[in-house]
Amino acid sequence: MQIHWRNIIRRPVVTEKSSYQADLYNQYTFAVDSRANKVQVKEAIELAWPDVTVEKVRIANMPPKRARRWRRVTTRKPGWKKAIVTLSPGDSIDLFEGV
Amino acid sequence: MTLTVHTEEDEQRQLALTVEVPEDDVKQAMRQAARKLAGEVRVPGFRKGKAPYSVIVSRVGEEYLRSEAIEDLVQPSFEEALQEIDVIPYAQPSLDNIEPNPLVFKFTVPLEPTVALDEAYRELRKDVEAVEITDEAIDEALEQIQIRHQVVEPVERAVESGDLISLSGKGVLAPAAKEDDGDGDGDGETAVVEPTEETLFNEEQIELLMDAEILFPGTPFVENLLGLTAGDEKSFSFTFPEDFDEEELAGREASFEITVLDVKSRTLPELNDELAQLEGAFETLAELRESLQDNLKTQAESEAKNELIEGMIDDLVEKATIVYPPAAVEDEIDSLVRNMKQQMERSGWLWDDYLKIQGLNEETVRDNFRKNAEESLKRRLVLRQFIISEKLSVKAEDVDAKIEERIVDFGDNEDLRNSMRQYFSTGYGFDMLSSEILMDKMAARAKAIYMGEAPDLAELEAAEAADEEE
Repeated sequence: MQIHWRNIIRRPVVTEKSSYQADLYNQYTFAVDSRANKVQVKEAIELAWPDVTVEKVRIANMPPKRARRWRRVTTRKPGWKKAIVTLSPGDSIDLFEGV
Repeated sequence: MTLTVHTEEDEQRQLALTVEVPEDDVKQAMRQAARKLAGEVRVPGFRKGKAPYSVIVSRVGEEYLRSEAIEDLVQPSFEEALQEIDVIPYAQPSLDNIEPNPLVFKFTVPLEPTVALDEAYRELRKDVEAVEITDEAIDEALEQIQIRHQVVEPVERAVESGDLISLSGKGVLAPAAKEDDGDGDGDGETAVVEPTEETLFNEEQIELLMDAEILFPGTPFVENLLGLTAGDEKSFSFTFPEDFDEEELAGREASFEITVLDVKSRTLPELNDELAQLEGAFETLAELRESLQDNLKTQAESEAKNELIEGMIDDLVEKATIVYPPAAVEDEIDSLVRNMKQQMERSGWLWDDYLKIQGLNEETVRDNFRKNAEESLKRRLVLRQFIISEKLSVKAEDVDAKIEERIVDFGDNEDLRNSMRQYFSTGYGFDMLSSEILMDKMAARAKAIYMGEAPDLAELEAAEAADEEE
């Protein structure tokens, strides 16, 4: 199924862990569309940032978080797909653009 | 930091200080500010204090971070600039302006005032009277002692002058009359235009000393009471003389209704050796007299000293050219206000309440103090300059001598003497003693100048140089 590249990358994940990986391993973390696969993520990244080359993409499905109970009310956070993108040495992405 | 510092002095002993901070230092300060903020702001995805610079910037904004950084930079860059130009502010400096980009601070630094004494001050001449204690002064002091030991006892007789009587009753002032008093008889004198009477006193019981010299002097008040006995009632009225001490009462008519409650006689003890022994460690009246003379003399001498110094300052201030920064006066006012506050709080007032009751606010209080503050600042500056010009100083041997002098008073107890020696050699005791010595020296020099006996300044200078070489 075709998903437009703009819709594949939903947002960068900016956390302590992701900043650490970006600094040391040149790996950038994004939340991506749950239907997207590694190849699609790679294409989308390279389209969005034309001057970087993606070496490797790792994908993880983050589980939904439920059971945040307060009496009877259950809150629920949906699951999401996380993609950790390794760039070629020397390439970089500024994660805070547009955040 | 490598600051660009520019200074300019105005005619009021103020230094306009312009400090430019290089951009690199600003950036560094911003990073430090971000580090500090990271510890305070909660950024999702990061533990406290762990968020990197770029995250903080995007979170709080560059502008904010810059202003934080500038705030942090004020103090250190001011201090560094002062060090660079080697200036110590005389009073509270102020930050007048901040230009953010490039970062420039503008400060006003008050400089030490300059005092130029009038060259001719050493030519001032005045008569300095020697301190003398007259026999009359001693007699008066003795009388005070007699009064302190007086015997008061109730008596069954008519009031005589010098008695202590209790009475009840009231006294009222007739309304301020319109130039219409001549006779002093009228009981019905209240029929004047304004019907209000002012109460002079209205007491259930009040004890009065029947001395016409002290109690409403110049009026027949005491006279009216003489001859009454306990239980007597009397109404009388009189007009206060035009030259009565209390202006509010002068020329006013007053009427009194009084009941004498009791009469007490006062017996002064005789002036003899017995009284001297009562008064303290004296064997004979002669000893007491001698001690009184000594005390009075010491007191008079220290008053004379103060007078000399104050007089000298008066003369000097008049002619001196003093330039001081306005901030120095503000500092002076600060300390005056602080003193006043403390005083108020000691006597149980809340400062704010006091202001409210007096209908004042902090501003007006400060304004009221301004004149005093200027005056005392000038006097202090002149005094300082006087000490410097006259090469007055307190030397270690002066202090040692003074300590030994003081210690004599503490008797033969060697331990006590040693601890006093210790007290006067350090801290507060030492300060007290040295300022006393300095005062003595100032007074002596002021006297010498007035008498035309002051040592030559050139000689003093030579002596000082010789001292330093030692």
